Amino acid sequence: MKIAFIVNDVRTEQGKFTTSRLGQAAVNRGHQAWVIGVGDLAYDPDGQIRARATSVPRTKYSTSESYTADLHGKNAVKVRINVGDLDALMLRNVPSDDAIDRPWAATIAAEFGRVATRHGVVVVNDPNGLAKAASKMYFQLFPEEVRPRTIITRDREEIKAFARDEGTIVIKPLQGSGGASVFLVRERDLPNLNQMIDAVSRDGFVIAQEYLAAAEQGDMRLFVMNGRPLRVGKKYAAFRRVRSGGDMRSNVHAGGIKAAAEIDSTALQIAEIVRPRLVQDGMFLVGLDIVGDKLMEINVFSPGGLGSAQQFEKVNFSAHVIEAIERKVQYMQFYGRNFDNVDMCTL
Amino acid sequence: MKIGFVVNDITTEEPGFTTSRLATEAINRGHSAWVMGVGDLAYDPDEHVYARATSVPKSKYKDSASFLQDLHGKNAVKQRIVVDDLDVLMLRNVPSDDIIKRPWAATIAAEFGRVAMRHGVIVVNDPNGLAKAASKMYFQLFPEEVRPRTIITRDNSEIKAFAKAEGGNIVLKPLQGSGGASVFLVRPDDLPNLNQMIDAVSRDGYVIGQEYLPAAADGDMRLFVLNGRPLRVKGKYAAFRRVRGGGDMRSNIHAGGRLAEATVTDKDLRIAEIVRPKLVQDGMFLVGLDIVGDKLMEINVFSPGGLGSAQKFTKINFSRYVIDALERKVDYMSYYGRNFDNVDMCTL
Repeated sequence: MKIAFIVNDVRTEQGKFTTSRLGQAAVNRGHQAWVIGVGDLAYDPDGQIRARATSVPRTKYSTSESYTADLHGKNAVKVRINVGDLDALMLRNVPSDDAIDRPWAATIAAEFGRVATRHGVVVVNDPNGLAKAASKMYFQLFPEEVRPRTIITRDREEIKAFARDEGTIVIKPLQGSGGASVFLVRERDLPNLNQMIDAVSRDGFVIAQEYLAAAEQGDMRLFVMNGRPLRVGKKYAAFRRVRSGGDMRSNVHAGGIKAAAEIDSTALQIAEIVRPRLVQDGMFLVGLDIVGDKLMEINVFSPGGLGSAQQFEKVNFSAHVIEAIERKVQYMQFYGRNFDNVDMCTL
Repeated sequence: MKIGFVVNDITTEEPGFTTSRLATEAINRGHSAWVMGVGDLAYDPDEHVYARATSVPKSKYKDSASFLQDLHGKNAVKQRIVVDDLDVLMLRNVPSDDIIKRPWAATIAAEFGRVAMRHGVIVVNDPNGLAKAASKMYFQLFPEEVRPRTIITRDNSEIKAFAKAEGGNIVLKPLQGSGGASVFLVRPDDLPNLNQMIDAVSRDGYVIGQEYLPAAADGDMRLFVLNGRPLRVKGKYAAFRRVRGGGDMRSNIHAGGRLAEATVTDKDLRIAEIVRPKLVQDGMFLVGLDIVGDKLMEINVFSPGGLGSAQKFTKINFSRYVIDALERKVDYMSYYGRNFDNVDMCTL
């Protein structure tokens, strides 16, 4: 098949990124795999989407590092391709990484992807689903049962009242992410709450959440593919992020170590509860961040960490993700490249 | 009915705005009408959407100016309302007006609207439809026949090739954002400056280059489409013409130009017919088509303005018919126990 991965910027891709692993897996399985930066796309006067795309010269790579080295190297294959001729397009850029310097880049992959679906390209995750998930408000559309108590407002007094009710809360910007401006507010922090709210509300609405005591131990990322936990044999694509030092953010780039995860019936129940909505929105591959019996976040834009899951579970999950896309491409061929993209995303 | 209008900011609303006319009409028809800014919304721990909303003390206003005076005045009714209890929420903020100073505000009305519709509030235009229309790329999803030839890219050389192919006459503008800023008309003798023009536009992201339509020299026509059909009352269409003023190629009113009566022809109705399926599919209740010759220049789905201008030339109070259409939806919704797909309801 012909597949392309849209990333923030081809040059800043790293060997350990999940996207690089997926690219390597696609090449190793004999596919034509292209990588495209969000700024490399174009809509041409003939109504076709084209892109300045990059691929690798060889057909086998032993590691995603050697694959990425070739992608960046002087033997890289650079061609202007017709995106409408692809079988699959995987939107793997991280909008929040572009939120400051290139705000226009945040939504553009979904914009082009939406046009590409007209030409029978399988676009995952579904562009209209991603458009619904542009802010953390998306999370509130999932059942209450799996979410921490939440308030979203620009009114300080409302946040203060919420903090008093809850004792300890977490505040963060509704739009954007990546761990910037995330504050843990304990009772003793109340004198600083105004400043914290101001720091967050500079960027728009503030989301405040009940603090989950279990978050002390960090959280677990569980991959969900086609609306079901990604499981190969008895191994789940998952891992734990353990809090390090005093930083309350378990995001890996905010410090923290990783460990093997144990998937229990609580985690599977959460995945089951979110399934209908993920299917409805055409979410092919997402990452659930689970703390205790609650979800902290559903990452639908370029969820990362497949390599960490592989490290602990000794399963090459990337190959299974590519295999799932291969099946979609086959379905699409049976149906003459004419099938609803939302439905195809989780078939 | 209980209706809420989401605007950029209550304090900057003006009587000439279509939203003010719609709210005045809602009040005069005996409804409870609230106005709220995009920053006044809140999602509370009880899972409901609230808003610091403003209404007016009287139940009749002779015009939108007196309505707005009361809305801004000291007798204005200010209350924290439950948005989920409304019958209708009309998203009327203009995202591009907030793009520089409050970029977060551009999408937030649709975000809250999407939550509110879970509770049976009719939200127009449909929030998911609006999310699809966040940039001018949305336009490319309509049939080619009604669109000028277009290129969208960040590559200078591709735009130059396009300009040459078009004989040197193209229009350049940013794909995202709008309002007439950074819109360039490129003529054959501007080619030496083309790089600078492209750079000015591409600072804000992707550049959209379009075939220049010679008919645009005379301005364009705005035609309102309601529930997927041209808005027509007593044989008159809600439409008007914008005539180019001076040398400025932008026919937007704030870029100079004057308004005139429009004659809606079969050709215009055909364009409206061609865009209808997609507008219905995306739940677009009220949109403004900008027509030049036999092509569309733009489809305005976010807070289209100018109902007052249409009224001025046709002597028809179209605002009344827009509110009337919303009343019908509220009736439908009550028959169906406030449980009906919002996209479908938007154009019923």
